[in-house]
Amino acid sequence: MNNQLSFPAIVIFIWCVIALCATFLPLHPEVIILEKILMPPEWQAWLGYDDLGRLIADRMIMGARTSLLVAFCVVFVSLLVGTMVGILAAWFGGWWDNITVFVIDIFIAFPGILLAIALAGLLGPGITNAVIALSIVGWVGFARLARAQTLTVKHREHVDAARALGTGISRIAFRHLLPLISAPLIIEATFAIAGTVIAEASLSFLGLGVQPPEASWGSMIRDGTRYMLVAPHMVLAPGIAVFLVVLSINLLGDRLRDKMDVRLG
Amino acid sequence: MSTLLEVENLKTWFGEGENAIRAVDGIDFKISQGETFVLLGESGCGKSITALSIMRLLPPAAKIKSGSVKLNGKNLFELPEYAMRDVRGGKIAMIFQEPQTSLNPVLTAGQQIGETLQCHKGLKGRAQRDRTIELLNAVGIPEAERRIDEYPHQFSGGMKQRIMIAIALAGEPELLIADEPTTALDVTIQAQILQLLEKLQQETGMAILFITHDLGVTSGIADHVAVMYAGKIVEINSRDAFFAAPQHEYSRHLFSALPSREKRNREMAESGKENKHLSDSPLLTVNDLKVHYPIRKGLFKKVVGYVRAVDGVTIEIRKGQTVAIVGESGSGKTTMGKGILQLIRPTDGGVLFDGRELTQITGEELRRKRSDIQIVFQDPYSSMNPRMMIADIVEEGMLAQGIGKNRGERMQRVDKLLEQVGLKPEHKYRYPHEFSGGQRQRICIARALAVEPKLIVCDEPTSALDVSVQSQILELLKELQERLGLAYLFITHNISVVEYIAHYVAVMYDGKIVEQGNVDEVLYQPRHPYTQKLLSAVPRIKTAGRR
Repeated sequence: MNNQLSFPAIVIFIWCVIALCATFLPLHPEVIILEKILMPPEWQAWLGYDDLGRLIADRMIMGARTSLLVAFCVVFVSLLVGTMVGILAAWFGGWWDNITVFVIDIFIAFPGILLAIALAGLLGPGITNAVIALSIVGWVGFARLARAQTLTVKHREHVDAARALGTGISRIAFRHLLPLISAPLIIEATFAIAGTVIAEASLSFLGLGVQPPEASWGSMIRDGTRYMLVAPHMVLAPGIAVFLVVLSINLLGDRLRDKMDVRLG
Repeated sequence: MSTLLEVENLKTWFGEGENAIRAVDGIDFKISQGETFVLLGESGCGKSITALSIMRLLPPAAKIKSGSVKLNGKNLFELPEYAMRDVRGGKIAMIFQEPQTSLNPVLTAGQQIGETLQCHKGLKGRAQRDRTIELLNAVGIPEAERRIDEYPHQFSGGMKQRIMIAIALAGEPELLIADEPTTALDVTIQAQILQLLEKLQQETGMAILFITHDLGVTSGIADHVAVMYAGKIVEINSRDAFFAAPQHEYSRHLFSALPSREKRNREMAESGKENKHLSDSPLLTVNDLKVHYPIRKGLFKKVVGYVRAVDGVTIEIRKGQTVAIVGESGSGKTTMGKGILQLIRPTDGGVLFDGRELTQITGEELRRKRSDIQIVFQDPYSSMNPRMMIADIVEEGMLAQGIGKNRGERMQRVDKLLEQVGLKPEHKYRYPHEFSGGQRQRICIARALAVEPKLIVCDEPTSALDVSVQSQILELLKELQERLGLAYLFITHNISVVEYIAHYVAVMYDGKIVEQGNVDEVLYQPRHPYTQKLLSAVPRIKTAGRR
């Protein structure tokens, strides 16, 4: 495979760097300049101004921070919880497995984003609550995948041999199960990051995520829709950002899958 | 008899230039009309590639570098591809090792045979169906009129191989290439298939190129034998001459690697002692062990019946003793082994080990007790975690049982264990895929020995290995038994291995033990009809002249 820097890798690299540096940059995302309201891009403000005369470029950067923070927190929590639940369900089987599968089925049958909206509404708006709501929805996919993968690996002879040696469940999980099922889980995680970026934007779009005056790509799009015909740059900038980041993550995920999905003998 | 197939200086290589793998490296042989020519060799020696070269069905990476294959004087390598299609199936037919995967699962047996009939004989409709039924009858499938419309999964392994043979016969070939056609089958089925091939050969007069690694099978069917080693034919001889006095060193090595009672007696005479560890009190007592699996059906998973995998097995093993469990696939041998180890919890019955009832204990106590009984599996490829280093694999049991104070102490023990099984300490920083099948099996044995077991369940530990490697592993197991006083529960389907290694043998059939006793009693005066049938099916090397 080629190790050259590809377009998706560059996009994600920029996204991460900008998001991580956002705190240290001299940004003024909340400074209102009334005479510049809805002004299109110009020399000092290369993405223009929004409906309150704030710099869209600066708000975009703060939005990148929000999306990165939410995406990684949610995926991290979901991956951890989901994998654990999935492995335990497959390992112990019986009624414990039946209950887990039942719960997973219910979660999957219910539209995820709708549940997240309901939860975010219930918990009240805010970024922490958005993370909690999305995690509650997010672990299900990982649990299902981890369970299925564990079921196939569980009956391999080296697992039986480890059991026969008297090895405990935690050591078996970390040395015999996780290393062998990690590849599909990591790939699933990349796609989950893409999904979460969109979900966060959706929640913020509905006003359930980040609260004003803080910036998020979703809330920026919401604000922009009202002025779409007068100032299309307000929607286009965050819209294109979401589009590019999600596309890039998906492309990278695909590539990762091709690389990692070598069946081990 | 005139020559049917002539192979001259055939070279088939994988890759190019210096690094090319010379799978077949300049072989010559001739097959006469109506004879059975056996190509004998161990895995990786180039037998199958030879067959595929003749058919011109090589994988893309392989190239025929030189040589010719002449069928009735016509060089097959000069034919265009479309003409080759008439040869395949029409003049030369082929059957493969694995009948499970050689048939198309979505077509009926009749459709698959009919395809060949249509291609090579132009038969259609009624005539095709009649001929298909005729062929199914010829290969001994009962109720052919009904079974013609059944799918492969409705047939057993032996039946599938019969259907494969029927497909091969459909084109009325002059040569049948059989690539290890009985290796995946049980001995009793193997005997039936070999008889069938012999009968069909007499009826049709076709020649058979039979590829095998089994000396016993060879002695039963061959007219001529060619021994292949590392891409070359090292010896060609008539069957009688070959079995009377093998010429090449490698051929003699194959014979000496065969396990047998004679070999064991000879070794016993040499060492002058037998089983100083053997005691009278039983180490393990299995009492009426049952493992039943529920069959669930319907929406609410109602239990409608049970698969009685192990159905009331009673057996005793003493310290330092080797007890062999013999039986065909599906007889419940492996399930029984796992039931003893408590890897599968038995449905009923008792497993008394060293005065402790294993079926009653759970949790931490069971984990501690596990060090006493270990297991070595059949497939050395899947029985080790590919992501773990040898050091970690062998260390695992010590960690679980709390043997050794620190990593350094445990590593010293790993070194010792590796030396004990004939490997070098520096091997420990490698991964499983860097080792051969025999070496992996040694590592598995070292892993089992790490926790100082008293009993090792050996589940077909040599079935996946070549004969010469098998004999090394069996010798290692014997030596360890002598040194450490281990008891073995040796699960196998190979009678000659039993003769070589076991003291006591139990014959298992359909989840039950039908006969048990000392090796000499059971194997030489079998009383139960199933044991008799099993033993008579084992292909043996016969002395010259008789057949």
